Amino acid sequence: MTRHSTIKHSIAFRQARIVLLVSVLLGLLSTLTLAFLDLQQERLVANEELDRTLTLHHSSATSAVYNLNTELASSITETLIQHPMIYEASVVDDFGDVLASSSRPPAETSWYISKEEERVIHHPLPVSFNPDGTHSGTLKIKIDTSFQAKSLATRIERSLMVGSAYTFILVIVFLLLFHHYLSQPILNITDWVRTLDESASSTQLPYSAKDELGFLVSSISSLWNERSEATDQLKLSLQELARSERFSRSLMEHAGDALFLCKPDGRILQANHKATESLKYPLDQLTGRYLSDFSQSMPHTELLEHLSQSSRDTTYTYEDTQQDLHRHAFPIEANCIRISMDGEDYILIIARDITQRKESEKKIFELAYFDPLTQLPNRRLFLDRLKASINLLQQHERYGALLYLDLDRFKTINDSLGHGVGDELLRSIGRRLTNELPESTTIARFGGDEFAVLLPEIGEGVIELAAEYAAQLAQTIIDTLSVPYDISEHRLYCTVSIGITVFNGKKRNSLEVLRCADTALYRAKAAGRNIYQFYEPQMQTTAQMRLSIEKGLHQAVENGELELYYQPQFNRSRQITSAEVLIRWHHPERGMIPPLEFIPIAEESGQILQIGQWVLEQTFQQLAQWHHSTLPNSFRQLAINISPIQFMQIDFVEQILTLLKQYQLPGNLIELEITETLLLNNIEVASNKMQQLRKHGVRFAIDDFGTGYSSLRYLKYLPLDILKIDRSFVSSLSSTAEDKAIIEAIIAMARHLKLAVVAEGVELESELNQLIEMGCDLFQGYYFSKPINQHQFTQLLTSHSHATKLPV
Amino acid sequence: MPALALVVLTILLFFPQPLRAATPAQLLFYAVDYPPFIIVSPDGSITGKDIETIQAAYAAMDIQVDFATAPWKRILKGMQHGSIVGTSTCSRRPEREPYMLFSEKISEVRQAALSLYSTNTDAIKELRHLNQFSVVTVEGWSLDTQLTNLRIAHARVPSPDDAIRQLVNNRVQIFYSGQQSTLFRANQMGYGGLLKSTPLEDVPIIDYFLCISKHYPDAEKLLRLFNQGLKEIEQNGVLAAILEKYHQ
Repeated sequence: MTRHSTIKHSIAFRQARIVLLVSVLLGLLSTLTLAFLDLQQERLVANEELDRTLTLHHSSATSAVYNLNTELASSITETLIQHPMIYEASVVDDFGDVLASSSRPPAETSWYISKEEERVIHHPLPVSFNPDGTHSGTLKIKIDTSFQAKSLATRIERSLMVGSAYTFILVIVFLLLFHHYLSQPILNITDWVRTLDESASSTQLPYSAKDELGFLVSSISSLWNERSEATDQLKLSLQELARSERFSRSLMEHAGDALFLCKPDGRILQANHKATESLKYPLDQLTGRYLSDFSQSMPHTELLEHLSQSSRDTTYTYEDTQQDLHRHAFPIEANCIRISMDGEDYILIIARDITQRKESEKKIFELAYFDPLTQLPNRRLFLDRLKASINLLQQHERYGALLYLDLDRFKTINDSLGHGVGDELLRSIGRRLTNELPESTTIARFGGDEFAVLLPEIGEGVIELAAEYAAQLAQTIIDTLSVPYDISEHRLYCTVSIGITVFNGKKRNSLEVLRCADTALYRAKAAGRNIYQFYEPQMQTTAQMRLSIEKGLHQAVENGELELYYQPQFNRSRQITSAEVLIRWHHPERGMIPPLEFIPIAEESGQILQIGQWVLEQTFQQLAQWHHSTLPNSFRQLAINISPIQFMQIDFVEQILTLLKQYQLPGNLIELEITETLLLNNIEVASNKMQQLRKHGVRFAIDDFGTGYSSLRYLKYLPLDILKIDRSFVSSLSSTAEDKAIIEAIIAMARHLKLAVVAEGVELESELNQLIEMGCDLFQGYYFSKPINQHQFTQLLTSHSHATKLPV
Repeated sequence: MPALALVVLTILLFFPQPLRAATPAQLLFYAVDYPPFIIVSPDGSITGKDIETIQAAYAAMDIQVDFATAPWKRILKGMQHGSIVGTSTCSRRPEREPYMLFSEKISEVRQAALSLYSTNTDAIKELRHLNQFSVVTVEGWSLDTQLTNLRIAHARVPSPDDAIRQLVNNRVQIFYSGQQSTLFRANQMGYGGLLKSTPLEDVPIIDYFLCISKHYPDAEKLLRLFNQGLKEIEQNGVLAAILEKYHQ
């Protein structure tokens, strides 16, 4: 700051400036006020003086007017204009004529004096000379206001000049006084305050007078002394703090783990060197981002959940996998602790790279849970999974199976060819099992030549199916493992014995299940090896029987073991109206097998398609023969049961139409019996197919009506013709009132929907009579005829064909 | 009775009034002291030969006439403006014709140079001879104009009394004025034996009339009534009695 600037901003200068301004303003104001008052007074005095002057001339002027004396009047006006304030005077008589008039130039005006509006005084001069009244002449004068103004302006000028001089002197005096008594002491005090920090506290005080500045100086001095001690203390504290901060920072920077100081929302505020090293990001790219940004898979919400569990008292630990700049992932163990600073919460996350630990854990896990030779799960892991499977099955009421394998005569191979060959054989067996069995299975090596296979969920809730599936898989294993092995120039033959147990988790724990399978295994070993055995004897039978049927069905069609039977349907007049086509299987070993035994297996194995196709072709062929020869008049159609799988074949409609064309049969001779289940699952597709066939006359019947869901919706929308009341309702007709009511309801409903009703399983006359009474028209059952073969049915048709033959 | 009264009132209101009744019953004329024609007493009363003649003439016409005094200029200006009815004992001059009506002659006067007996006035034969003397006359009189027109230096005073006093005090030598009136006034003032009159051959006798302002309402009629009244007092001897009174 320059000296000029210092002076300009000094208090003395500013005070003097204020005094100057105030003085000037007050001076101007007072001068203007005085001028105004002076002007008023001047006017008053002038008016009084003019009044006196006019009064002085009143008498003579009146006389001049009365006598119309122009000389006297002229004398008066000349006298009047001698007065400095009058520049024009005239005497006017009472007739209005000017007797005399005198004038002189008025005083000159200047820039600050403007000539006022002409001011005229009319002084009346009363004249009385006739009885009409008093007339007046006038003494008229014009006032020279400029003279007045000039005088006033002169006084104002003087007043202003004197005021200005006074103000200037006053300001100078104030400036000097302020400088001496205020500014200079303050400057001295300022210099003193500046030097306080450099000098000792005993510095002599710059101002000692007992006034406000003196009090200020003494206050500053005492305050400085007090604060000086506090400052020294504070400096020490700050040094301590800095040392502590450096120590903390050093600890953080040299920590072996990555440290992240985050806000509770997971945003990173600070990180140490280790953090930048492990994530390979520079520090400025870490701060401000969320910690979850560097996680491979942990969503931000999950991270927040972890962070929210941290507290000030205890460390909260979680694990995560972080990903560095180069997408390299590594596991970490994060210890979180909540810190409060200045009323704000922070979370310090200590992230430790646990890659090595994880690898060790993995190795430990593998050692603990896997067989080192085959890399298959060991007994412990297998039991864990078995236990988990049992728990799962308890919730879902399904079935699982455990296959316990033991190689036959492995010890001989091991002993004769050495452990190396034996071990390689075991590895080969492990690989074959892994390759052959479904992924959902757990294959384990229990040690030695023992293996176990866990089938966690099989059979879809049907124990027979589960047993069959387990048996199939066991057979597959036997077949797979029996293929010779070429190991170390040796061709090895190895067979396996398998013990099977099927479980649903209701009764047994994992060890019990394992023991059952083990028991079954010994049973297989005892039975001659290279076979499988169920722990449950009946399951052994069932599974073998189902496998036998499934196996036999493959050949049944080719070998002509299947035969069609026909169960006729009758009307109230006991005329044959129709017949249901039924299938029979003449097993070469087991004899006649009823359809209930093999049809479900065929449906599950898919063989039903082949069988269904065979049935259709045979039926159409036979019907064509009958149609051209022996069908009675009352005969309407032949009913064929259609499996849902068969019906849902894409070309099912085409198959039927092809057959109709091939055998030149009208569609109305064919009735297709379908189940409610089929309709319920695929009503749109089913409806479409039924509509197509219906166009060619094919009729449709709902088989076993009343036993399923019996949705009434499809009765309205589908092109149905016949409802077949299930035999269970008919057989309990006499004993159960509810069944009777159901039949009555079905018949009533069918009548309204214009559907025919066929009662199945009619075996007694009483049942027939009741059904007739309830309004049923068509009947099927042993009361009329059991299912009969083609030859017998032809005879039956012939016996009824005394009636008129159907038109071809 | 009421009906009759109404008829009488209507007649009184709408019938034409007689001529005499239409004229003012009282008139105020102004005059200046000009003895013996007009004599203003110290108490303010105004008499004189012409005053009484005028009053008698108008009285013969049932009009009362009063007189008041005023400066001669004011009287003339008042007549110019029609604010006063007129004045007595004024001569007929061309400049007065525009605003004055002149009656029948009521008196006459001879202008003369009046002086102290001690003053030698032998040289004065005609008016121009006044140039050799210090002269005064009354301001505003026709004599004043006459002197001015003849370029005869003279002083002006407001009244004849002032002029007489100036003569007596030897302030001036000649007072150019009416012979009769000045001597009458000097007698009244106690200077009866001090003044003499020197006739002027070239100054004719001046006739005096009653002058009425043309601008005053019914001026013509007032003039006619006066002339008629003057004739009447000539015939009945009233005028002669008045003249006789002032010849003494």
